[in-house]
Amino acid sequence: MLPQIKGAKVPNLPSEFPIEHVLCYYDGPRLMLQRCEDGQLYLAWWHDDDGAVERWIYLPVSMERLRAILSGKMTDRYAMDNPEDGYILVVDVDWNNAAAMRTVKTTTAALPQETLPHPDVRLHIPIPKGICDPPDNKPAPIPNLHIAKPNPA
Amino acid sequence: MVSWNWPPDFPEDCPPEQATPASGTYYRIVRNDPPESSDFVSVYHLNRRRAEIAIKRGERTQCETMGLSVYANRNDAAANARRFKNIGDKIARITLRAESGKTLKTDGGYPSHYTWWKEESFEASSSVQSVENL
Repeated sequence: MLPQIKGAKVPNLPSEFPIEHVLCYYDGPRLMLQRCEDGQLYLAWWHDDDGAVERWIYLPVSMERLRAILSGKMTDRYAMDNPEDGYILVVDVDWNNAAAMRTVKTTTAALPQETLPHPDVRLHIPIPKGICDPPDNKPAPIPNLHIAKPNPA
Repeated sequence: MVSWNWPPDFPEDCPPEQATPASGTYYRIVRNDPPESSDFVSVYHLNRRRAEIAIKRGERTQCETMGLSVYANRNDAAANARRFKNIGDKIARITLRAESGKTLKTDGGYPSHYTWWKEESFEASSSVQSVENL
């Protein structure tokens, strides 16, 4: 069982939250770029797995920050430790239904430090085609952003 | 002439036509030293549900989820092991030959990422030349 993470529990990401790009694949997706309905971009790092539940670290990013991370100008760890909006989301995904079962708004201080990316690792990945700035470049309003659409009756 | 026996659950066109007989030195992230058979299990066979979701989302084909990720470049393997520390903290240097199966360069975020489809009876741990602790 994955250890509990301290932080504020927030509404889960909707299961249809689309994956724009799998940026790193190693026996499965490990780093993904996702975009919310309002255009907010998230970089999502695979973090842990207990066989039934997978844990991901979601970092909301501006286009400028995304460029810095993917080009290697900024390390993964620095970006996670210094989120533009002041938080990361730790998302536990239940593979029985492929849906987020728990989402915690927190910081990297709440995670076991030895499990986070080494401070000197950098990506060298071109910006995927078709990725552009969120419409207004404002921080994502978490509580409203992640509520899944109700199913039509 | 080498002929391969693929696991019975491999689809008919798996490995893909473009894959070539395995040959050369590759690096795989492992948890154990010496590596165990559990260090050489594909995502499809380790976590079927996860693989099926990746297939459904169009992230990977079924065949790709049945292969093993390896790198031709040690530094790429080390960088990813240091990024995703819960995958494993060791790098196994492995030597593959035609009897080991087939490989294909596949998109993985690093230019040296390959997918290795292991021949069913091939004992992966026998391919390990050395293990480096990170």
